[in-house]
Amino acid sequence: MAAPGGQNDLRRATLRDYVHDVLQVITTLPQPPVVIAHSLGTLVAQRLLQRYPARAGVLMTPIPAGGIPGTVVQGMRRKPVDFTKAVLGATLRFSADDLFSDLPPEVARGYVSRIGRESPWAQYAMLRPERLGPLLCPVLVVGAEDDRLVAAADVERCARALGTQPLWVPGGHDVMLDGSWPDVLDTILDWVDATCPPGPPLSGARELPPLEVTVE
Amino acid sequence: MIDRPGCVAVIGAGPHGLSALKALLQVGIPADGFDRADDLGGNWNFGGPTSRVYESTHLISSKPFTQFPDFPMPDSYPDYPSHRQVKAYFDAYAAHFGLRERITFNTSVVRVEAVDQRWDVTIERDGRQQTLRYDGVVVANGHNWFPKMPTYPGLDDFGGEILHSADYKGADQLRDRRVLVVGAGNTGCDIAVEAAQNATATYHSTRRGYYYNPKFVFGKPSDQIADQLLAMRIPLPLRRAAFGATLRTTMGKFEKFGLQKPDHAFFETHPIVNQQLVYYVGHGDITPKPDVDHFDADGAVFSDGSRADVDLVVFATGYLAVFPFLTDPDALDAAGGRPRLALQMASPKYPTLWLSGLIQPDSGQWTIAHWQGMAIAAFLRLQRDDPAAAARLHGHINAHRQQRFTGGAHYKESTRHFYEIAHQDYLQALQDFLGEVAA
Ligand SMILES: Cc1cc2nc3c(=O)[nH]c(=O)nc-3n(C[C@H](O)[C@H](O)[C@H](O)COP(=O)(O)OP(=O)(O)OC[C@H]3O[C@@H](n4cnc5c(N)ncnc54)[C@H](O)[C@@H]3O)c2cc1C
Repeated sequence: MAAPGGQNDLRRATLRDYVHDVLQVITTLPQPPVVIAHSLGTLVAQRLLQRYPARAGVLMTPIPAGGIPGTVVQGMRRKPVDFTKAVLGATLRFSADDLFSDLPPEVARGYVSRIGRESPWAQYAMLRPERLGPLLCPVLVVGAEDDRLVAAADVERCARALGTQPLWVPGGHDVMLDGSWPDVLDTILDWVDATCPPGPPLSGARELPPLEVTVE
Repeated sequence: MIDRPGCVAVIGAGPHGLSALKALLQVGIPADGFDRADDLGGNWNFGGPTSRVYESTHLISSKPFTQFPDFPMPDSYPDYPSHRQVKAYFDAYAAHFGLRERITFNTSVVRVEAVDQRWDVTIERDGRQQTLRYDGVVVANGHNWFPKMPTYPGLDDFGGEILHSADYKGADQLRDRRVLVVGAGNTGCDIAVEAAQNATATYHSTRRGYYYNPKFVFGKPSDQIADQLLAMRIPLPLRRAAFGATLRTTMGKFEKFGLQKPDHAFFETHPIVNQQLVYYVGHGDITPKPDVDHFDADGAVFSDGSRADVDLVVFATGYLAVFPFLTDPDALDAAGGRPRLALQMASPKYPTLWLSGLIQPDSGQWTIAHWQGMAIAAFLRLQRDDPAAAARLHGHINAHRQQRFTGGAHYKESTRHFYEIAHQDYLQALQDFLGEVAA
C-alpha cells in the first residue's frame, strides 16, 4: 500500500491523510456512495462524514471519536506488551485469536499474515478524544459479539455519540472476514436498502421533480 | 404561472450557484437552478457569455484553498490548475451530486419580484417569458463579468482599437501590435505579461504601485505560506513584515525596476499574484506608466507628461456587480452601487432573498462558496421549519450589517474593494452564523 496522503513515509501519515485518500476515491465515483468502514477506518469515516454527504455510513466495530478507555484497559490486561509497544509507536500486532472467533485456524492465519503496517499517528488518533460535528448522513453502528479488541462499552459509546444504537452481529473483530460474514453482509445490505431511498443522491431533489419548462 | 411549492430558485450555475444548489438539496430543500449559458461553470466556462477567463488562465489561488472542501480536486492536478481543469472539476462536482438535472440552461432570469411572502421569478428563453413562483431566491449571478468601462478625455478621438478585458480571450489579439494595458488587477497583469511575450511594444498604466507577489515561495504556493502564518496566529504587523522581507529578498524593491512604489501597506489591496510581470519590466518588454491623463488619435498621454503611441488599448479596469432583475430597489440597500448586506449575503428586507458570491477573498473562493451555500441552506431550512426563530436571527444579523471582514487591514476605497474580505475572518463569521442557526 502506498502511504496515505502522498506521504513517502507511512510513519508520517496522519488520519487527515487517510481522509484525503478516501475523498480522492469518492470524487471519482458517479454519485455519493455508502461508506462502510471497519475499526480504525471508522475514525476516518467519522471525520469524512462530518464533511462529506455520503448516502449513508456503516461503522463496524467502531472506534468512538471520544476515545477508547474500555478498549485500552481490556487490551492492557490481555496483551500488555503489544499494547505498550503500540503506544510507543509500533504497529499493533494481532493474532488470529484477536480478530476471528469462527474460522479454521489456517484460514485465519492466512488473513493475519496479510495485515500491513499502520501509521503511529493514526493509531494515536484512536487514543486522543476529539469532538466531532454531526454526521451528514444516516449511520449504522455494528458491534461484533465476540470482539476481543474493541470493548462493547466503546461500541455503545460510539453509537450514543452518533445518536443511535449499535446492532450486534455474530463474529470476532474482523466481522467482514469471520465465519459469519455472509450474515453480517445481509444485515448491512438490508439496512442500506431500508435507509437509502431510490432516486437522486441529495434528499431535496427527491422532494420535488426537476423543473420542466415549456416557454410558450 | 408554474408554482414550485417549498422550492428555492438559484440564479447562476457558476461555482457559487452550484454550491448553493447542492447545499439546499443536501439539507432537504428542493431547488431549481437557472443559467443563461448553455453549460455550467460561469466564469470558468471558457467562451460562455459571462466567462472572463482567457486561453492561458490558471488559478491565482492554489488548489487546497480554492476547492470545495467536500469535493477536493484530483491529486493529479497541479498546484495552480488551468481553466480547463477547473471546468472539468465543476462538471465532476455537478455530476456527482446530481446537480445538472436541476438546472435549466439557456434561460435568463429577467425579473424577480416579491409577492405575498413568496417570489415571482420570470425567466426568458428565445425571447419568450414564463413566470414561476418560489419560496426563496438565491442570487449567484457573479460579479466578475459586467465590464466597468472608464472614461477619459479624448478617448473618442483615439484611432486604434479599444478592448475591455472582458473580451480578451487569448494572445492572438495582441500579436504584433503596440499595446497599452490599463489596470493592475490580476487580469491586467496577466495581459501585460502576454503582451510582453507577443506584442511589439507594451505599456502598463497603473493607478498606484502594487505588491507583485510570487506564486511560489520556499517551494510552496505562496498562499499556503500565508495561511501557515495565520494558523500560527502571527499578528498582522508581523505578517506584513514577513511578506515585505520575502518580497525584498527575492525580487528587491519594485521602484528599482521603474515601477511605482506601493503607496499602501500589505493586505490593503487585493493581492496580485504575478511572478512574471516584474521579470518583463526588468527586460524592458513592459514599460510601466502612471495614470492615463488623456487620449489622442495616436495613443495616450500619461499624468507625468509622457506618451505612448499604440494600436490597441486593453482596459483591465474590472467588473461591476449588477442585479437588473430585482424589481425592489430596497431589496439590497445598494446606495452608491454597493449592497450592504449582513455577511455580504442577506437581503436586509427579505429573509428569503440571499446572495452568494458577492465576495472577493484574499484567497481561493470556492471553499467560501461552499460555506456560503451551507449557511444559506441552513437559514432557509430554519425559515421553513421555524419562521419566528428565523425572523429573530435575521433581525440580529441585520443589526450588524455594516460589519466588514478585513482581517484588521484598511482596504483602499475603490469599487475594486467593495467586496474584499479576509478569508479567515469571513469563514469564522460564517461558522458563527451556522452555530446560531443550529442553536
Ligand atoms: C481571470 C480570472 C481569474 C480568476 N482566478 C480565480 C482564482 O484563482 N481563484 C478564485 O477563487 N477565483 C478566481 N476568480 C474569481 C471568479 O470570479 C470566481 O472564481 C468564480 O467564478 C465566481 O463564481 P460565481 O458563481 O459567483 O460567478 P460566475 O462564475 O460568474 O457565474 C455566474 C453565472 O450566473 C449566470 N447568470 C448571470 N446572470 C444571470 C441571469 N440573469 N439569468 C441566468 N443566469 C445568469 C452566468 O451565466 C454565470 O454562469 C477569477 C476570475 C477571473 C475573471
